[in-house]
Amino acid sequence: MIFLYVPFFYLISSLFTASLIILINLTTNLIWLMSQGFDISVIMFFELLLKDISNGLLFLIIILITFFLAFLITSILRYFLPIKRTLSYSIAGFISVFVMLKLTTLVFTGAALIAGMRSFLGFFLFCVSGFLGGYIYGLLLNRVFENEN
Amino acid sequence: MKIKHKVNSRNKILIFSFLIVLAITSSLFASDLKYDVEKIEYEFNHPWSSATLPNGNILVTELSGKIKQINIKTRDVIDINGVPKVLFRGQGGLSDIILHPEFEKNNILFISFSYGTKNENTLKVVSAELVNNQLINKKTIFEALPYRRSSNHYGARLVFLNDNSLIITSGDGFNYREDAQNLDNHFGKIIRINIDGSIPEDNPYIDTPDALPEIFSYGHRNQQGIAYDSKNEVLYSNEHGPRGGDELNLINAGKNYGWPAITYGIDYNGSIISPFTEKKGMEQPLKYWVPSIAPSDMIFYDGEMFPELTNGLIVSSLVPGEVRKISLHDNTIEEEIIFDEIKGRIRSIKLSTNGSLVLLSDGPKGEAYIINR
Repeated sequence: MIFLYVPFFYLISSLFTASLIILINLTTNLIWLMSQGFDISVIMFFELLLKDISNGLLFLIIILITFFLAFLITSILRYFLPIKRTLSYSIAGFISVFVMLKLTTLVFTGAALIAGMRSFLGFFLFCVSGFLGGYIYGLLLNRVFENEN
Repeated sequence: MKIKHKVNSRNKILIFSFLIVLAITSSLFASDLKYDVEKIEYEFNHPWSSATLPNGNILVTELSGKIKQINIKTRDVIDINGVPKVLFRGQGGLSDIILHPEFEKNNILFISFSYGTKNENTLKVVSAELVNNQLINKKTIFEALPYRRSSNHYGARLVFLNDNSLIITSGDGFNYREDAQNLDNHFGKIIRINIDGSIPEDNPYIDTPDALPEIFSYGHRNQQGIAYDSKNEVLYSNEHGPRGGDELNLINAGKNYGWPAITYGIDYNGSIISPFTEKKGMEQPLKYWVPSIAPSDMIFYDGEMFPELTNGLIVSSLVPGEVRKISLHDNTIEEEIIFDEIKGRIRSIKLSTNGSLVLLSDGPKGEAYIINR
């Protein structure tokens, strides 16, 4: 029964991380535009966020692949190492996003395909998004396991 | 019913006749451009640009770092020696080649290329003498600053203005797009220098504090086409947009072309770069393409071989791989696809000395085509 929930939790955590990355990316873009004298209203911000999320299929696919590998490896590791579920999946989320960002830069000969990752802060926040996605996944799994027990 | 049927048949005959007449007349007018396409039987390794020597031989640069010479009489292809070492990585490598306006007297040519290491590289322009199929007396006349960590968006096209100053396109380096709006660097700029590398005294930012004096215009992305109408002294540039938003621009000294503050494109990953397409103080393109055509090169045709192309811009593109004639009228721009039998990504189009055209297709097995009449 638990395993029926796993794909659903995996999708939720991936959606969460992809949305957070989109939000951070958009915010960095808009902060720069504001520094150039453009007016960005709150309404415009949310309109753009919705637009970016609706165009964010590529982000979601990348995160789905990233988390699939990360969570699979983590579940195998947890079989041998008794690390807390939320902590292990959070670390897995952080590391997997870190590796994914580095790999895409390598593949595209130094080009940062997600503009927000060009600064150290942006890169770190993207990794934190992975951490939070992993945390949510671990947390949701915990709840199901607690109910089962 | 019979009568109706007769009328319908008559109508059909009339329509059919009309269509035949239409097809014949339209073919008479549409096929004005008569030409022969000759493919050079040689595989070039990522050909990028070409220049035709006064004797008709064609020099072809390969991104991988070689210059080849096509003998126009025998069609043999030989190597030019003494080419500087280039960084062949990503979009970088040996790029454009252009002859000195007085090449017949001094044998000097200019090449642009990416130089350095994968973590620290830049765009360079070097002058050299071509003697006995060898480049000698090489001298760096321009180096884009600062160096970059990425290997993308070098620009690297060259063209001479009537006053013999050299125009260089310098791309935004992909990761440095915001720097295209700052005048303290060469990212996303069009550069103007003298033949010896010195700065022309009438450059727009020569007296501006903290601005680099070589800058001619700014706010560009990856300008892979630059063309000059020498009769009317008008400079045109085309540049790759992100996803959508490729632009054709009329370049004027000191102007800001907006990237990335205003754009008609979105990022490759689907996110918004800027929701704005215009701003006071920023130039609008003459034309933009959504979806992208990936414009790769451009000439202003002032040759004599093809009067039908005279005073028009000819743009080559990578996606889907076409050559377009762009006619500029007072308030309108007409666009027509020409030479459509040449398939594949077209990396370069150049005008040769006799008015024929040299086209290069992209890739590790790139081809060269000569379009004659």
